[in-house]
Amino acid sequence: MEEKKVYESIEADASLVCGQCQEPLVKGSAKFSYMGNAFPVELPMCPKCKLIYVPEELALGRVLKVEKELEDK
Amino acid sequence: MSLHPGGKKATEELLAFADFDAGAKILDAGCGVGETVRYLRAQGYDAVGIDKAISSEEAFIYQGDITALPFADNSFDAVLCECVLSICGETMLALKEFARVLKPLGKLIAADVYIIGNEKQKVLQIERYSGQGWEKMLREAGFSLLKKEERTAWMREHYLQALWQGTDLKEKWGWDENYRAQGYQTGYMLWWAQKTEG
Amino acid sequence: MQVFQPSATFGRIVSSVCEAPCEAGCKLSELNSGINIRRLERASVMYGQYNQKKRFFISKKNKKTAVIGEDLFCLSAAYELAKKGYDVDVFSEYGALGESLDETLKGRVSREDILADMDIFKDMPVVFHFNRAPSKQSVEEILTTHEAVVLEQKIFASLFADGEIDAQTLQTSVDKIFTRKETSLPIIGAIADGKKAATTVDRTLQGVSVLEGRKNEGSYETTLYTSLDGVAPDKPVVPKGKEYTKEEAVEETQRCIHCECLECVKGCAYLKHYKSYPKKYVREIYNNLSIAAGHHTANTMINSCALCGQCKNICPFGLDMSMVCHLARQTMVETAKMPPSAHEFALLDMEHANGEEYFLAKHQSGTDKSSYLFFPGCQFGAIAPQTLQAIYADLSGRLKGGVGLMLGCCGIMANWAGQEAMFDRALQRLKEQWEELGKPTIVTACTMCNSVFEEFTEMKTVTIWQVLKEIGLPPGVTATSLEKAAIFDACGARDDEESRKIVRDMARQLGYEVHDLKYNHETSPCCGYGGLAAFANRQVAREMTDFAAGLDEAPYLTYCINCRDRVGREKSANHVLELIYGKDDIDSPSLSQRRYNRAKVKKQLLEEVWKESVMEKQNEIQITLHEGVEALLDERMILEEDIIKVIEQAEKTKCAILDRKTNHLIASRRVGNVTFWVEYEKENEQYRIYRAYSHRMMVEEA
Repeated sequence: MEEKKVYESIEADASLVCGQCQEPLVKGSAKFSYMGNAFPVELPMCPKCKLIYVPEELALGRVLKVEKELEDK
Repeated sequence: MSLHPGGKKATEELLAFADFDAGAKILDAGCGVGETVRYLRAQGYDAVGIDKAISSEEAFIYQGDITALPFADNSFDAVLCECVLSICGETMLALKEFARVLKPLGKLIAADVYIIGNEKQKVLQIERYSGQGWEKMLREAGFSLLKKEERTAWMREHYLQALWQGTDLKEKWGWDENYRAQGYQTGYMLWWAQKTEG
Repeated sequence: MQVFQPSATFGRIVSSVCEAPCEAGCKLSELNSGINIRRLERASVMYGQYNQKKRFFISKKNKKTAVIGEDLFCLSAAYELAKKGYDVDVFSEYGALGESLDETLKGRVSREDILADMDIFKDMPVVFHFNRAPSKQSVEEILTTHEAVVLEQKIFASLFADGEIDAQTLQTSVDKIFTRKETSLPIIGAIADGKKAATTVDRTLQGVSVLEGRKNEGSYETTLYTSLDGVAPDKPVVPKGKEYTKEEAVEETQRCIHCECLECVKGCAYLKHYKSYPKKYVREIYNNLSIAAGHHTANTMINSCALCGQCKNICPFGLDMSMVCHLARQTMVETAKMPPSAHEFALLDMEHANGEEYFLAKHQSGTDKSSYLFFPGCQFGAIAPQTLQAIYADLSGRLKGGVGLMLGCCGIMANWAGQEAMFDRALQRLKEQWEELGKPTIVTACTMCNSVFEEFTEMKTVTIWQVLKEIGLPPGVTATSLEKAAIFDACGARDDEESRKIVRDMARQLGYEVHDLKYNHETSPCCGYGGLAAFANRQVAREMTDFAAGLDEAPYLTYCINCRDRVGREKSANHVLELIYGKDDIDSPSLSQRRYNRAKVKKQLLEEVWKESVMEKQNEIQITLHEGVEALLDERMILEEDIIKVIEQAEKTKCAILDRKTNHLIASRRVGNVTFWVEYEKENEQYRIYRAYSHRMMVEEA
């Protein structure tokens, strides 16, 4: 019974669709990585072509903070 | 998030090898908020926990110091201690206390940080908390080692998760960070030991 | 009381009759009268709580020492020896403890106070032997049973008439005997000497050096510099009764100005920002560098310094935070501990300035020889391209022997970033180009470029100020203004007194009534551009700019284009060269406009001066920034060219997310070490940009 570890899980906004596949974005498994460290997360993505969306709040919030932390390590 | 590396998966692995009988009396030394104690009780063990910084309504959670346990001699089948010994201030004292409260052939299952030391280094603190140092402490406290497993990846994972979530790890990991600051590598180890008879 | 009790051995006596030499040493005595310390001590004894349960941890030395006499010197020595763990026998000709003091201090200190002060001997290994008149014989006897003897000064004088005393150690010419030399300051001096004698005895008996490390024993002159600027002379509180009441004492304490230096902190927004002072900063930086792994908490602080050298010039002792931070950066780069994001934008900007869009090195049009080589610098072309062209036209018209032109960056950006190898490469390239052009004299328009060339290369330079002083202002330029203005000095001119002077003269020549700022010449603050502070820490750079701009009401005249740009966003500011040669239409360009400006000025110069045809770089993607987006891009250090790259790729691959609510597309692309996200909408043949943001982390499907 291995638990699946995800550090962040973001629901897809209902209005977002993949521009190419026209599929609504859904929550899917993704991975952030920086300076040799990986962070498993769930992000909105196209179920078909797997195009990932990183919302601004996440990029300028948590992601930026962790980048800075890692840079100071 | 779980307060120790590996989370529930670690506790499960520690328990699996020990293979206790249902109803076994287990002490979680340094139990934090008691998450593991509740888990153990749900598994059918007679588990209690103790922590320096806890005030709990629950009868099976005690407030106290692991270097001076408020329990009778020879009263536990097992002591579980995850990521607490290294930072409790008096590792040897705590180990001797564990030996005291354990029944003969009772088991200590511990998980903690160790220093991957430079062989040439003869710094007392480094020797003491190296892999060999830990084993020596266990022996001196009256335990024989049954098994050990390296789980450094858990520590890394735990660390990154805390970093991502913005949890302040200073209190818990200041010890580890202090040694890493001095240029030592650190690892994470699981130990299963048994109280030597007599 | 908490402060006074542990530091004064006989607090009640001292606070009553101390000669208080400290009061003359108080900084306020330079204005009028020092703080009345003695009376304040008395007040603390009277109104404070004397803690009786004083306990010392004494490590016993198992050696016997003796004190002969019972004045303050002897009692102080006895107490200090006991504190150091010696057994002490005190031999007194008087009949009881305190009697001697009672006699000498009669009418000045009450008997109760004297006896209360004697309480300190209670739990000490001190044994008093009374009614023992001193004689040569008794002293000799005592010497046989004790390892050291401290003698009252007058007893020593009467028994050893020829004896000599070393004032520094209180050793005497008689073996094992110690006494006091000074007779001035019979109260506090005697107590201090008692302590000194005990230290000498201790060191002698322990067999260690008597002299080592005692230079600053007792009182010595402080090196602390404290400015009395803005401190009004005031009068000390005079007690209505014999001593201060509690209220009077509090009032007197409020006169204290809390001596501290902080002169550099007062003049620097960066030093102010971290709410401490350089001694602590240096410690933090040292710690930061010595950490092998773990959290480097001082990285941002190290990268936020403007490296302008103002502090060194303000500090009475020349403490140079710039040097500390600069060395720290070099170390961080060497040990791969420099945060990758700290200076990347700036270093890419330097790469741009030395890249094909801007870099140029040419003889004057129509010549193959240059006596001079105009080097306006990387930011002049980015901020004031029209002014640059006007200057070059003037110089090449009026200077003899050919005036070449070199556009590029002097390398200071890499130097500031601690990237020494990159800095060397940049300088090396400039040097090669300069040699190819026949080693002309470089005319610099930026004091920073000038100081870099002078310090790090053998290239001969003159500043544009020296040149204009020599050849005069261009014809037609006359005094038009009668304005007042303050000169805002550039950090690049710290060691260039001549430029600072010429600029002032020239401003007057242009009709300005100029004055200096509070911080001027070599102590001017940074405008916020220096040291790449603005790239590593926007907030601190902002504070620097605000501080600089707020020093004076008058409009500023600058002679550095970055000072003008940053300060000019806050208040009226002109570059002296802009007064002479005219100002650009857009004088505070965005980050993207700066790059366009560089490319444009190179193209125009090549076409108009050298008559070369230049292929214009055409973007197929034309973008329009929605309201507020331009400021947002500068804030986030995103260039329009990054946005264009994102859209180019999204339009080609059709990989974009559509927001059905707004019908905007959201696309991303990795450019270098950064992933850029752009929200846009196609509008006729243009793309309207609503939003852009970035992150450095890579993201991929798991």
